[in-house]
Amino acid sequence: MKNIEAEVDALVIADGEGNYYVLPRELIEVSRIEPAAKARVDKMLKASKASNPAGTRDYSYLGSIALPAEAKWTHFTPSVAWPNGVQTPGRKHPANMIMLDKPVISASKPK
Amino acid sequence: MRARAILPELVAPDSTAPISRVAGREPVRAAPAIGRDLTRHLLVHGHAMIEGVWSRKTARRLAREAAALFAHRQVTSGSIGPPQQATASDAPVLASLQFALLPMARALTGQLLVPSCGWYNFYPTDDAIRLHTDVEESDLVLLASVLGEPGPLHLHPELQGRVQSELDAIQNDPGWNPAGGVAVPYPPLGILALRGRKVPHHRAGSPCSSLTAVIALHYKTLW
Repeated sequence: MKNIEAEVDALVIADGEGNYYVLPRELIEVSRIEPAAKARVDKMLKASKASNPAGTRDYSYLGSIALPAEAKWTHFTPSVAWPNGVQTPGRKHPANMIMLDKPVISASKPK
Repeated sequence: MRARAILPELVAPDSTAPISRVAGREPVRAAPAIGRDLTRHLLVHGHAMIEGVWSRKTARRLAREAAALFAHRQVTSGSIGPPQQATASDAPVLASLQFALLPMARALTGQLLVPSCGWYNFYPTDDAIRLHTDVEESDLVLLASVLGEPGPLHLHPELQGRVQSELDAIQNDPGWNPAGGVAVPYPPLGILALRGRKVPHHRAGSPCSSLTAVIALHYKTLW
């Protein structure tokens, strides 16, 4: 499992209509079943009418992907937006608040 | 729904380091014990509670950082009233925690999330929050108390789909019950995971005996 952890961030599957589903590795990990249950799953797979490769009512495995490190920063923002993310400077919220499009508070400069 | 998960001890980066250095160090890798009961609870009810995510030592670091940011805050002219905020970009420990909790956020939701906004929300005198939904940049928020003892958050799944103007009208109605909703406390040393963009929430508010701070770590799907 360690090699998989190092190289894979997500698995990608597709449905019969061509829609993609990206499943993060963490989801896969929490979905792992006990080894003792594998035979039961095998039996159900054999009995399954789903086709492989995918038909219109099935999913097919497309592969795994590794994200570049910078992907984690895609949406990271220093903005303060409270509440509801309205970026209208000076708009007054009913709760006696002013929504600002920049941080209300800044840390002191490091010495 | 409560569960326990253990986050390895947070290795706080140099508090004077620029945020880019903090990111490069990736100091913590969370190993959450997220069960299906927890993910299902989040799916069905829009929230889940996880206790014991970090140590008391990490809690002290967060408290220290929050207090320091509040003490040195620079309030922009014209800003009034709570909550006052400091962002993760000014808070290396908070930013570190936000990235450390990313695997947990993904495991909880099954979505390929990445951090978006991260804040300390300060309540110097009163911990009230108006009824609202969260920012557009949030598919999940992890909330935790780091200073003081904020009251429980009141969730309103029955109000899903209402826009902010409707929520304002509901709260301004004379028949509004400030004690209404599902009251959910902040778990000790842990997080309240919330689909806050979908589930409206509020806190009626009570006086704070000391400075109170809550962290709000927001995550958004990558694509």
